[in-house]
Amino acid sequence: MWFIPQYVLILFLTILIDYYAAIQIEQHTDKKGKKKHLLIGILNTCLVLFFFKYYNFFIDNWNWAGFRQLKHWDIILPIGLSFHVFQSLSYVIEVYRGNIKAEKNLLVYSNFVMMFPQLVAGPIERANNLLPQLKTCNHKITYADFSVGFSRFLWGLFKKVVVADTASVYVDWTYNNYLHHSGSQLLIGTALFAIQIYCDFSGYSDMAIGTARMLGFKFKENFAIPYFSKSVTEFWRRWHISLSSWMRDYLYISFGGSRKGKINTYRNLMLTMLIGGFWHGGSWNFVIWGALNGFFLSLEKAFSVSLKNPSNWIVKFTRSLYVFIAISFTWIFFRATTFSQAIDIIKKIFTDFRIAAIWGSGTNIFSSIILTLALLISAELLIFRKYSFDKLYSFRYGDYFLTGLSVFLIICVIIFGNSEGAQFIYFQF
Amino acid sequence: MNKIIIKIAAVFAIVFLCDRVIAFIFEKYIFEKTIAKGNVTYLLKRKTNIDFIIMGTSRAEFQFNPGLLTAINGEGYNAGASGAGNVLYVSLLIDIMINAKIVPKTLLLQLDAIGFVKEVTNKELIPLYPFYDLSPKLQLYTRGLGLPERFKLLFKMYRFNGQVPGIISNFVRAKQTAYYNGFVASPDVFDTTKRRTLPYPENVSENFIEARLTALNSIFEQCQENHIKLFIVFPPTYNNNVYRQQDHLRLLQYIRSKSTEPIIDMADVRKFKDLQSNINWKDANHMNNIGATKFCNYLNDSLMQYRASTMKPN
Repeated sequence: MWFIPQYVLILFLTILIDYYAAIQIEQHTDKKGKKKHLLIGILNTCLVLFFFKYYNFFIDNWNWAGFRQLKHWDIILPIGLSFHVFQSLSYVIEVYRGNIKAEKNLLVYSNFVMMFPQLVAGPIERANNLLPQLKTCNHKITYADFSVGFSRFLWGLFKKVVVADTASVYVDWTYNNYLHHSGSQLLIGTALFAIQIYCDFSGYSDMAIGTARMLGFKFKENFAIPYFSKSVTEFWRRWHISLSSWMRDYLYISFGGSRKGKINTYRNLMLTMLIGGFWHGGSWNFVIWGALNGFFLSLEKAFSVSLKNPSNWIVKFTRSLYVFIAISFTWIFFRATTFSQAIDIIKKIFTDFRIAAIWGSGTNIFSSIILTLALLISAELLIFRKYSFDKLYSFRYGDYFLTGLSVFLIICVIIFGNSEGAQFIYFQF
Repeated sequence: MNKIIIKIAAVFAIVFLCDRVIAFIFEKYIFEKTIAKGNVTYLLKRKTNIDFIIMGTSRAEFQFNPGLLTAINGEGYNAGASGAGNVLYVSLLIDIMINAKIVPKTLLLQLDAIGFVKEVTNKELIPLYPFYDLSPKLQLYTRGLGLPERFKLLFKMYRFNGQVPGIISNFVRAKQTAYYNGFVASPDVFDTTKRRTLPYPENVSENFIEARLTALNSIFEQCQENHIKLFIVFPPTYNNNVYRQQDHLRLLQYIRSKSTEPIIDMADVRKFKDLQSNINWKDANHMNNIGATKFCNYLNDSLMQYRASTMKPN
């Protein structure tokens, strides 16, 4: 990670332009003026995003297509760019739609875009939730907020350092040398990556939400135990909620949603997910990942898969298993560094049936993975599936329970935490 | 605000207390009773019977069978360590051993040049953290790792970080193990049609890592001070997988400039025809039991030759 002072200036400049654009949108009474400033706001953020995130991807494909060779630039992506760009975009669009008022105080608006717990990897906060909280002058840190936020932060830390970083040892071991491993090993690696990315990203979200809560701010939820979903459609309502709801509100609905017939609905779903994939980075792998998710969503739409929770536990389990398999399959493209690597891994999974040497990465690692996974699943199944941290705090001995949970989580981090784990996966976006 | 400060203080006090209690119980009733597979505790407990020790990485663990090394008199133990065992680890392990009053007559040190171009990570030393109190050298080393590591080491259970499941599994298995010499005999055969050899790692340094060279020099000194006969062994890899001639020769030159201890150089597999076939290998870097037996016979011959040459009257 580098600190480049110029990037702070770029961030301030985009904040200033969006701040100005939103005020102008509000002040203009004519549609043309409003649209013009909306366009300024959108172009401002999109240009910054394109330059830093997609310029090299565009150049690579331009050169590959045989046009005049253009130079590849060594650009370092400003941390959290994709997140605060989407946050700014939603603000300008909401002001244009008349759903919120433009913020007149530059300091409050800057704080909204750059609020530190969620600046680097979300959740992508909406102006109607965060701006009123930032504007409250008599902001106080309460014991209840601190207690809930503290436990929430530690739960996130546990997910990241204990579960995700432990699983990552096996995932890296298989994926980094995929030609060296059997299909079954790669299959286990893929399933573990599904767990890793969930714990890594939702762990970060928990820490961000917890940190903000300790300071008295309430962020929106970003994950709702997504692997317990009964369909891919439901999964996307429970996974990275702030992004999926953003895409629903500003892309899917703008494209026409499900209002213009079946074929257009499928097209809109595919388009939304393709853009969602592309949002993750300039790589065809992300585009394919988005396309696969779009395909599953369209398929479920075509078969009118019910979103109701089935009463039979066998049906419940089978459908959750389908979701895990389908989503894990799409993660192969997300985790692989190149398209050919992803294809090789899929080929191996379906053709190389040698029994996995599960202990090959070290006895400690696989035992640790099993143990930490058991802890995670038990906690999610028995506690967090039913009760939120706020609900737990509201019980008679809730505060004691959360204190005990915090102690337990710290002990787990000390004993099982991977102290040399990698940085958060979503920091690269 | 007072309530918040009290809560933070209470949580950390309870964590500290729990850490001490859990560490005490774990150490006394599980860890100290663990005498199984490739474990340093096992080595420390068998102190009276060990005449020679093999140290190194997993390549030592899978390839050096003490039972076949008859050229060295006495009973041997293979202390090769998977995922660790580089020179820095070895240097600290020798310090632990010596402080636990274990001084073997002979030490077979497995080395690879590639081990000297890889950056040092804390991970490779964590298996030695449970013996933190036994090694002033390890304590000194961790002091140099910065404040976060020193803070983590305030918690006694951190010394077992990431090792608890393995230790418990060893603890359970120990009851079934009557005798163990540390060697891991693998029956697997390297299937070259499905598994390719790994490329030489790209993220390695051009020069040898200073900390590793310092550790190697420290091993020389430790052996000299404690009258341990040191043999340096460079084993081969399948298809010379991790063998890079220029690095290897540079390391040999360095060792010869610092020490007169014998070097048994088998790094280039092209010199050993019957080790070249994949039937000798478990994977590109580790031999299976067939390969290990052949390799140990070669090694034993070299040790025998060395013994004969040193016994010759001038």
